[in-house]
Amino acid sequence: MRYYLRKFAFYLVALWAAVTLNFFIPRMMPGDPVDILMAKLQQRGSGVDPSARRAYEVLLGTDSDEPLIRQYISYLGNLVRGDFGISVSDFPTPVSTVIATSLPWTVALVGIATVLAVLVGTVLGVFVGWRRGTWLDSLVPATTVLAAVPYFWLALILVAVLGSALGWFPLLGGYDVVLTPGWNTEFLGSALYHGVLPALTIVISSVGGWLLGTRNMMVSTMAEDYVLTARAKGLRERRIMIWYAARNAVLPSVAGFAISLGFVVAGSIVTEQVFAYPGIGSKLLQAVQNNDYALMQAIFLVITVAVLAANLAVDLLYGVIDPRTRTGG
Amino acid sequence: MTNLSPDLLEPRPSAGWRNLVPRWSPKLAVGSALILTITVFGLVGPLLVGDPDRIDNIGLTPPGGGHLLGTTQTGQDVLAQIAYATRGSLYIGLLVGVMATFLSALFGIVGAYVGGVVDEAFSLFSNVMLVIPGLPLVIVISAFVPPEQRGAWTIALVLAITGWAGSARVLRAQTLSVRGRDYVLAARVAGEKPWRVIGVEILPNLLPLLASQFVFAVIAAILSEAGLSFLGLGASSSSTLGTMLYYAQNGFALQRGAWWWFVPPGLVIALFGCGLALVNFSIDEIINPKLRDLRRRVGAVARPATAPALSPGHDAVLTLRDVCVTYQGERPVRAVREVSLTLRRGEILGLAGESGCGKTTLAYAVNRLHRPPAEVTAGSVTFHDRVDGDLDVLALTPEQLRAFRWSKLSMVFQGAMNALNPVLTIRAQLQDVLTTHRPEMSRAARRARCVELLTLVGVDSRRSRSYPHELSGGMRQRVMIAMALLLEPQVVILDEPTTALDVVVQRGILQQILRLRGELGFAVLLITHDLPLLLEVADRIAIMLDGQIVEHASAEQIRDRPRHPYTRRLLDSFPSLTGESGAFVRSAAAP
Amino acid sequence: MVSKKPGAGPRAAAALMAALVVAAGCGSSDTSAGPETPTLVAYTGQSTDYQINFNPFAPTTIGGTGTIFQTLFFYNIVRDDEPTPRLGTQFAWNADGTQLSITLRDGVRWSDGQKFTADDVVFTLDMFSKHKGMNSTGYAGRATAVDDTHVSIAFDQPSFVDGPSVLGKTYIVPAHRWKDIADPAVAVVADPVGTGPYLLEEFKPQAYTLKANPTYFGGEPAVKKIRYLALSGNQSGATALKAGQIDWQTGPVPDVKDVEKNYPGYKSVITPVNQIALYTCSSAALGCQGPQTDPAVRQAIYHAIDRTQLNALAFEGTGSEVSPSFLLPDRDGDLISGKLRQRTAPMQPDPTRAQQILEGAGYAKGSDGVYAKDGKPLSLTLKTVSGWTDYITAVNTIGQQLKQVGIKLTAQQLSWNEFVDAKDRGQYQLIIDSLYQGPAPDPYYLYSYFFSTAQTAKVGAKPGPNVSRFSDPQVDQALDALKRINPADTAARQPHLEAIQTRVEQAMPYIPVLTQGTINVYHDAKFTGWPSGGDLYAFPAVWAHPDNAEVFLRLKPAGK
Repeated sequence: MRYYLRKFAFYLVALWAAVTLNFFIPRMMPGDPVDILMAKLQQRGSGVDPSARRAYEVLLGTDSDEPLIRQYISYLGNLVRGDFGISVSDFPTPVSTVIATSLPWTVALVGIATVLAVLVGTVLGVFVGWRRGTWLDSLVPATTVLAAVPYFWLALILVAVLGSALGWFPLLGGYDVVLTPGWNTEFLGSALYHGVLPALTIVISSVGGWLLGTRNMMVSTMAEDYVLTARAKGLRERRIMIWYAARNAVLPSVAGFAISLGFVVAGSIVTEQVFAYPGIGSKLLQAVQNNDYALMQAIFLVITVAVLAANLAVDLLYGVIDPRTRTGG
Repeated sequence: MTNLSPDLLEPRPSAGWRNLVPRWSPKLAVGSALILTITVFGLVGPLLVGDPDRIDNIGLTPPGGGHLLGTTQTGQDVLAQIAYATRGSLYIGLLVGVMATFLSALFGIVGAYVGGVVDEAFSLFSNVMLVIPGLPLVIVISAFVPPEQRGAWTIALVLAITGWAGSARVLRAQTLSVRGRDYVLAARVAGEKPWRVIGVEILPNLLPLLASQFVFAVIAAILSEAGLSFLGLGASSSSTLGTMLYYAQNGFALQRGAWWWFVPPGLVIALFGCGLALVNFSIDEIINPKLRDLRRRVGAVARPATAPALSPGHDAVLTLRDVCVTYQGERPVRAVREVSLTLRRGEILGLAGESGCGKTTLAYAVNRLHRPPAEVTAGSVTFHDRVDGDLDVLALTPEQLRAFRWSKLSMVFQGAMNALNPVLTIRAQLQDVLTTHRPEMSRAARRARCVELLTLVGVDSRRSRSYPHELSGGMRQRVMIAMALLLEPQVVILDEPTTALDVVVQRGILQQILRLRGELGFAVLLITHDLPLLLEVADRIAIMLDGQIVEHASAEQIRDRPRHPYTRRLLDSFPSLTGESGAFVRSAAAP
Repeated sequence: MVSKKPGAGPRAAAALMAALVVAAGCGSSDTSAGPETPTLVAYTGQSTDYQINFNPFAPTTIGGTGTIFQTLFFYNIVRDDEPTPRLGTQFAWNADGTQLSITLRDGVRWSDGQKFTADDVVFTLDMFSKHKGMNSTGYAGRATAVDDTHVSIAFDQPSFVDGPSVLGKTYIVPAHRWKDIADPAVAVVADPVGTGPYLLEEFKPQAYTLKANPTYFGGEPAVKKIRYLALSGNQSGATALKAGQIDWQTGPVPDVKDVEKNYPGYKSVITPVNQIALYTCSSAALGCQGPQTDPAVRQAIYHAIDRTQLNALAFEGTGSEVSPSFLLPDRDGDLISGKLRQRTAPMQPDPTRAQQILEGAGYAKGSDGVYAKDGKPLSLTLKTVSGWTDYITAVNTIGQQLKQVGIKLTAQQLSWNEFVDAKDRGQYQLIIDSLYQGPAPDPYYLYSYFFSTAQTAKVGAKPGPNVSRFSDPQVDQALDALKRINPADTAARQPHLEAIQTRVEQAMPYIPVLTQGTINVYHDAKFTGWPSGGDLYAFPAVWAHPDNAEVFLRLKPAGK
């Protein structure tokens, strides 16, 4: 129980840190983001609505004498209400709507790709670690090379080869724009079809890390006493590999999930740009290109919260699968 | 892991530093070659190639005719551009690598060494920085910096402060483990200053890890910078592989099929990263020697001799004849040399000797538990089964061996602390023996059998749902014994069954074993260094020295009429409760 | 030893994935096939999601101008044609340009069934008077409905030059639906009702679709559906074009010289309309800072640019000659003054001349090869927008060319917002952009936008299009005079045009680079009737309005 409480507490602290970081970054940077934003809004025809200006000041900082702590409180209040202001690049949609429409795409893409990468990488890692000295060993450097390849370069080449040259997969977009989004098979099928190339890029790039980690852990675990005992007990190879070796070996991989999730999130931003995938990563880039500070900050927060939530879920899962944590605390 | 005594392996390496140099292997060779080539290309290349910015009317041309890698859309030489771009990327990679490693060393090593609140704070900070996603943070920060001020140093700084957290965590874990080692404690007790302790005692042990983390940092930096530049957020004035890819994309290189513009920059990054990763493998192998590549030997292992016929009159259950076990390697070590032993049905045979004489190795040979580089090179192991007759253990097929293990012959390992799988319950570990070897048993029957055996060894059957870490050492040992008896084997090998337990528990365990032996009638091979114990409980004793059996006789004979001088020394080396005080030490010290 | 073959697990997973993908692939439908007629897919360069707004006056409008809403007449800016009647059939000025009488088409209905009358026209024009925010052209007339089909507009000043924007660029909206809109300058119109040949069928953030209007006064158009896509930039556009997913696109395309070979079924037409220039913040008097405020520097740059090389490397040869008078050599050739030093800017660089000009102005070449004066090196920054792929290449090329002469040029890429901000505030030295045309094929508009004092402001204050801060009383006078002359009277206009041209060439606040060929690529195999070299009946850019409607009206699905 203590384990779970400690984990929750840690993630609360991390969340607070991210939120505060988000608060301070625009205030530390040169230039006056609020003025730029207001000018932008005027161009789009929004006018100098004082309440709009106030909302942005709270978000991005202002030259006024208002004490920082009061700004901070207002900022937190707005966050809790989900009020991030109006998006400049997608004017006049509110930022929260922009995020709500694009987030599911990224969650689906990144989620599925990560799960795939983890499964493939871990399973392969278990086999490679189990059967050392065979051709499987060559998988390790092979996938590590793939991990060293820049995501976007790989993505563009995949687009050129599989999309343009061979025409097997669609080149861009999240779904066939003729269809209407909804829970029907046509749309879901189209979404799946469009998601293959982006997901493939992410999987290819990240599977190497999982494979290597799992394989290293398998090697260590196989030298443990309990594996020796299992062999002496005359258990079948498969049982030993799965229940004695792999079951123990993947625990640290689960613990190392945090680092790899960071890489996956990073890669997905660039991947979405290349494939014109309507996820939150491409919205972030669009916000950057249009000085849409409000959208940018909100997306950063959302991504952080999502990553924190995923890490928390994994940590809780770890508590379930490793019995030593439950009593130790 | 206790199956290998350090003496019997290759000789101990002389100095710590030699240990840190990676062993040569194909991976290291290829990796180093890649890194070296690309680094030299980046450093020297710009001096040798032409002007990367010079435009030419020829426009986009494929390789050939004076331009080894073709030209860009504006007629600029791609090879020249790559040389400068490589230098730019390497420069940023190095900058970030150094800064990030420094930061992670600061927060990881210093924090862990100092301990207490500082450690907690640093650790919390590292973990928080770790979970906050890096690239979005970098993007946001870069976006706020005006383009005029986005130089190489700014980008490097931003990448460094967002990329140190993972390394810090790893370094901290390692520092914590090193900090508790004896030599560090000794230094601290001796009053050395903290900086000296860190610098002299801790840092050298962490060097391989630091090197590995540095390499990771460089790869990550180059990749991140490439990504940033590609998105248009990179250092505006410098030329890196990322900016080159940006311009290639801007000029529709892929759509035009201008692969010579687009593929080489990405390839350079990939190859460099690959080289670094391969070198990292070698560094990993220093940190964790088990990862070293095993060279599978082609060709059949020498077939040991067939078992000779039994001499009549002996009711033996296990016969070892001229067994040799060798640890293969650069200098092969013969751990067991022509050992011949007979274990009679139902008897307790003690195998005694000092640490490292090969007792455990011999025990493993019986069950064929050796893994490379250890192997049985000669001799025979014959199991005289009550039902199936003689079995040549060394010649069994893998499936036969599997069936043989535990059902005919079981083992209780030294130090049961780690012999149980930490993530399965006791019950699961007992039952999987039954499901594997007695698949016809029903669930109820299995459960009953487990309960029966646990009760037999004196463990409350309600504990069967517990995990190993929830039991005391003594209980775990008893569970191991129960597990060994599940299938009513004919031979049970006990390897130092009581070494890690206190005297009272020792007594209890041994009594239990004797009792069980009386009830169930199995033979016991009791391996221990505790000769007096054997004198009490064993029927016959074999003394082992340097891989050979030097004496093999009944317990009384050993006690009263030891023949081999080593046996006599062994007997004398144990202090007597009744002898003169001081006799032990004085007799050993006497010339 | 029995154990699972390594790779069996992953292989099974791969097979499952493949099955899923095939199933999904069978589920997706073809982008453009309808049962009866094909859909025309257009890409305007939209790189963010569409936000629905079909208000033709709002800055955030996404379309419908020309297709849903119409103007009174159509002015073709690429050819010197008479204006084509649309909602109006005839118009006439009085002698001194203070009254404009318009005859409207009879029998036109709005798409909701109501009758189109002069009241709608008057209402629309009055909106401009009432809402200053909408009135970007400075319309100052008073419109009255004489009867259902006649409108008369009265002006206080001679307003000949305001005619084309009123007649050709003002979209008429229905009074009965707009009268309750509080702020028509920015209102969001999601359900547009117009008189045009198309109606809004469907809107999605990634694409919206128009369908043919069966009750259009000119008859239902042959192209039944038009879809506008949002992608993620030039790159995606090129990729989609290559895959045959787009039927009409305007913008740089790789290998445009051999369109028919590289994109089978497609053709291209290149129209020289916009003129690429290096905008300079030219007036020290109005607050500009930097070496570019010295006319000698601007002239030197003018002579140092190798336009042939630039055209080849950055624009794939689609550019054409530009005149320092900024008159289009093709369309306005007759109007170019003989008094100009050069009729068209030299396509070959003249570095000696450039260096002479610099040295004559007091610059001396430093040891590093860069000219300097009073200790300050001749170093300039040139800003461009990231994502404008051809301009980025052009800027790099120009930088190299100027280096040969001894001028140091640093390129800077900005976001669109920062770019506009820099222009508005005058915080720039050089900017690459293009001078665009007005609502009619008349050079007056370009001069008035970019060279009149009325359209400029001091550095720090927001100007009109004249961001170079150029202000010349002679030019202002000539422009004033032109306003009073009926555009049909070419003889009377010419002396004033000449005065403007010569001043413009002398001062050169915008350094002419090339006339940009707007590259239009269209799917000739799928639809026929496009404006092409032989018959440029409209400006063939996909984003030009109301020209795009003209094109749609003339297109027919191929083979029909």
